[in-house]
Amino acid sequence: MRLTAVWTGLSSESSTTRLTERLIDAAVASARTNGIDPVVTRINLRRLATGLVNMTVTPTPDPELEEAFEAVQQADAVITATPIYKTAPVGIHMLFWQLVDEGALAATPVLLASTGGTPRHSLAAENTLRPMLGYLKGLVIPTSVFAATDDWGDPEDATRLTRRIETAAAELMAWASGSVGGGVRADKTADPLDPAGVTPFEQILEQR
Amino acid sequence: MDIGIFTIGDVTVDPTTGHAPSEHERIQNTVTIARHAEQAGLDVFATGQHHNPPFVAPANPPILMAHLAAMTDSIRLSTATTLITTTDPVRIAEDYSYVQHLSLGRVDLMLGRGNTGPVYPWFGKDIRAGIPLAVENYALLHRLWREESVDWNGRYRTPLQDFTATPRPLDDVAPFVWHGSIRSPEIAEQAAYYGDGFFHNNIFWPMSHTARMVNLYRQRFEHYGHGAAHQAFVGLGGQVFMRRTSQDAVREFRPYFDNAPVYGHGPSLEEFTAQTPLTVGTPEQVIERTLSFQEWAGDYQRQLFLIDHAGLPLKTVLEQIDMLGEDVAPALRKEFDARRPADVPDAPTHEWLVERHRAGKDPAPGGRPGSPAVNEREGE
Repeated sequence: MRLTAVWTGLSSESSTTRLTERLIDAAVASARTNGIDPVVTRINLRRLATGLVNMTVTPTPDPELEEAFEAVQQADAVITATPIYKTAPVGIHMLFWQLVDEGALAATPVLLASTGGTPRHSLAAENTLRPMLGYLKGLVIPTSVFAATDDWGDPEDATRLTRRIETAAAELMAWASGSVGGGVRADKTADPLDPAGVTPFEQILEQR
Repeated sequence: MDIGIFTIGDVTVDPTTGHAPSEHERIQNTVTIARHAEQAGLDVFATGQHHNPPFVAPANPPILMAHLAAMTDSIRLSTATTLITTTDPVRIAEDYSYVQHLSLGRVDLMLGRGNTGPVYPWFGKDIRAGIPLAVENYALLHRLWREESVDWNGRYRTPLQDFTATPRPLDDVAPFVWHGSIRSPEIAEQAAYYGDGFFHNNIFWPMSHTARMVNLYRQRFEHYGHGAAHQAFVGLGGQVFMRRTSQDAVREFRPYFDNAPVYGHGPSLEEFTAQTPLTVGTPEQVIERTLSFQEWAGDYQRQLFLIDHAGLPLKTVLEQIDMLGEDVAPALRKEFDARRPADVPDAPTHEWLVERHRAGKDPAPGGRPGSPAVNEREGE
């Protein structure tokens, strides 16, 4: 199983990075209880910020960005986490999902997570990222995770956050290892330029 | 090996002088560029087809091609691209046959779907049907050039009964067709199915991607029995800016790059050079870079360079053509010809197509009996 985490951790003490690592750990632990050892790919969009902007103004993806898109395309499960700025996910996080190929998430379970300064930001990702990931045909799991600054300090809040992380991670792994989406996920990972898998021209002629 | 230039006829302000050429100036310059390309000894001049500013490439390329046919003697005239989606295939068949007669066979064309959505409704077409239009329109075009009487009933144009496209192609041989596509496997498959050429305009794309598209076309060309994969007809794009020292080239080209409508204010010149075929340097660097294309694309037949974009003044463009003609083209032809095995065809010319036609060796769409494709179909 391939688990890809795409997050935007902007500072060296980024709470979004921290939350992502907690989610990865919980997902891996959950999978292992079922005898699965996921291969984890980590993509912090901070490193790809320039490439994302460049690809917005030219059609050319830079090689690192191409690798990141490929890791999403090949994923069986995705974790995505973003800081919330002014009631919306930070711009470069949105850009990544705006530039990735359509269908890149087809039948792929996605765990949505976000961080913010105060609990008032808690539903921002629900209103922006969830529909977008849905448009990309991702199966966004019902449980999302939001962590405000307080959640890292107050022991009671921290316990609640931990429980939510574990619930969401277990849900993600259950969907990823189950038969949700059927063969769609297999189609997603097929190479469209593989000569062996190309649609024969007679068929293209008939379909028009 | 064809070495040539292609233009999209962009009307762009020169960022170093603020000079904005008028449409008239740009059109006249395009003619000068094409004539200069012939004088410099290049093999091909290809024009785009455009219906929207800031471009003044002809809405119907044969208008420009016919003019150039009268003003030149040897250079081959092509397109980059002819819009197969929004142009009636009957008009394509008749106009290109006509210009083929005028130019004594110096015409071929590259088909493309176009790069801006609004063109479709201007011609009553549906943008969502880009691929189906390219598929159906070419199926008709292919027949119009080869059959005297065509009955046709398709989805995208009025039916035809006992229709004869006029004039018939020169020597009864259709102009050679390149199918251009950046990302669509269907178009690579189409080129392979008909045994036509495949052109990848890779100017914005990493070579790893272009190599995969070319490989798909080559493998399917073999599948349809038109020849072995390495014998298929491949063309590539490229863009260059040259001076005698690479420092001079970079210094002079940078403001044009930084402000170009297509990639300005994005990646740096250095990043773009690393990621795409863009080469800014000496003719020797251009030669070396272009020769490296053969290492991943295989032996290919046509190399077109974009040199007249981003607001570069005419004088500079003509100097680029001089360097292509004097230094680059001779070196590329010599080395590519030396590398190319004897069983790989050279760039198709009218004379070569006539010979192939008379020998009864025209490619059969979908393959002849005995080809892997036909065997597979019959095995079903």
